[in-house]
Amino acid sequence: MIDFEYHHPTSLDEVFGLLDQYGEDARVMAGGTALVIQMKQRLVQPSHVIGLRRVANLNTIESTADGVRIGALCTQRQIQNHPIVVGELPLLADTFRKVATPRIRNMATIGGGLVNGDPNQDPPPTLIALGASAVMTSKNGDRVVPVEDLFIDYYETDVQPGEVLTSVLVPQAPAGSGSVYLKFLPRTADDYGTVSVAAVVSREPDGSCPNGACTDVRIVLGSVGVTPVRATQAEDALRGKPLTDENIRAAAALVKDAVDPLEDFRGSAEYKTEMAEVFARRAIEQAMASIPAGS
Amino acid sequence: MNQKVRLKINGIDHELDIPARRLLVDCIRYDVGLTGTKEGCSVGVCGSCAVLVDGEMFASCITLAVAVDGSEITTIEGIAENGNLHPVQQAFIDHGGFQCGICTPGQVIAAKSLLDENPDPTEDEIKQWMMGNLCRCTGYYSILNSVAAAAKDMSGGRE
Amino acid sequence: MKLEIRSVVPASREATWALVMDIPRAASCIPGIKDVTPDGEGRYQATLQARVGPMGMTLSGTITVLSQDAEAGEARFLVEANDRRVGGGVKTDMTMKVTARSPNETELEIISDTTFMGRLGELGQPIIRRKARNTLEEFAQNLSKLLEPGSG
Repeated sequence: MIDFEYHHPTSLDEVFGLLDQYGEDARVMAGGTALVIQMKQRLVQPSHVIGLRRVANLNTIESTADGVRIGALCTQRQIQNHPIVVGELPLLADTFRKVATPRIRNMATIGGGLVNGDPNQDPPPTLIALGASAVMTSKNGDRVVPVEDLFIDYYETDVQPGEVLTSVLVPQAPAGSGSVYLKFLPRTADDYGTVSVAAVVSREPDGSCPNGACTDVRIVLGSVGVTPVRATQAEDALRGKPLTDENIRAAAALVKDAVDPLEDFRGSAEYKTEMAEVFARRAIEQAMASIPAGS
Repeated sequence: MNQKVRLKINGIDHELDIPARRLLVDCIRYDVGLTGTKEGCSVGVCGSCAVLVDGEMFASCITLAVAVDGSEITTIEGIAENGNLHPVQQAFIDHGGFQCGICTPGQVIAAKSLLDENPDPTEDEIKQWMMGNLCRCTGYYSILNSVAAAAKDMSGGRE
Repeated sequence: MKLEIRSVVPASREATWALVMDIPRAASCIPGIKDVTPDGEGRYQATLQARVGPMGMTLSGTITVLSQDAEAGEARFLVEANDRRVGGGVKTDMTMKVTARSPNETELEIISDTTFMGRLGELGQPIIRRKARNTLEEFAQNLSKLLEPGSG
């Protein structure tokens, strides 16, 4: 690792001051699980690292009228186990539980993960499927960015100079909906998914069809491109239609056009595309099956 | 450039003057001289560098020492109690939970941190927790048995 | 790494050839390119700001015209650039061919063979390939835009 200076600010104002002073030569560090590895490999070589561990008020979780507000420095384990998240956002708790290993989940944070912009990560598809938004704070105030719009390209996120992601607001899944996060792990349990899918399906009873029509659906995939991918065409094809086997398969088939996976040791681009369809279909089916009875 | 880093390691205060880029695993092994903690993969995946930072299991190979300035660190050298082996250590001995030993400090730290939080884990909970610690020798069953035995031992033999 | 793209530009063969051989102007179509300055006969210095994954880099180097045949409509360039700080670089052997399709349409073919050195060579092949292809496609699109009637 190239030599650098580590800073321990205790307030956001201090952080902004440091970012102002050092600009391009500085990187902000939360848990450090991604940044330290990148620095070890000399992919990034900041002369100044601004650690957020001691900045006050970045690691609280609270329930609000619009959803659960999660501080950026909350660790993945903290989120996975927190009673508010388990109670109000069970899909999110389940998703965080599937990340890597307990060791990584003790260190990695929700904010750091989002800013990193790695398309193979687990939390983004779920956060996007739930309509979450991130608060980007700078000395000029707050800027709210839907998580869906945060990812620009491979490891490139919409963080403007002088900004720090300070919290994420996650609305609850719609009443009467079912949801699931599926992670295809044909290799080891601690890996990134070969493909992954977060699906939220809302349904209202319709006596005229064997299955109720679907009022809303969100299908978001990870590990299928340079950013998380929301399969809007597949969603549009299913919205308002009865949730029959045929319609679900037709929607899942459209997922193939939405994805553009990078090949790696987990699979070729063709294989991942095939699996995207398979797991999208399974996710829709499982989300549907988890809709509470009597909705 | 060097920076002052204070760490309480196994109950002993250390004041170190080290570069910001010093990783916690290297600090523990070289600056402090505790070589029980091992470095395997260098990317936080294998678990052999596991230590407890303020009671939580961390991967010391991807932690900057300066980032955890002021923390309490527990390494494998620090879990024996008053000169007696910790029940987890004893269980690993009694149930053959190690062969070459390179992953063992990390396995023991992981097992201890599990039982600290969840004294009566199910078989599944043990697997879910220990899944982050790789072993090339044992085939894992003897490790899982050791953890289960330690749990039973620590809870006074109650089922 | 070999890449090949073909696109049809809305201009005559002559206009297309003229643009291809006007290095500063053609190079300005490369996304991220800065400061293209002449450096002797058929040589230019240039700087390229690029980003692959978390790695931002500034590649500086030379563009050299290796050969040009106006009649055949084919030219060959060598681009060599590196980023000392990151410790990586690129070396691209590029051939550009222009073929008339109609008086106002020309097919532009770009064939490139690139070697990535140092850090860049170590980064995953798929993302490098993806980035390189995107850069080449954007280059061709920008050239096309410059050749549109009425765009000076």
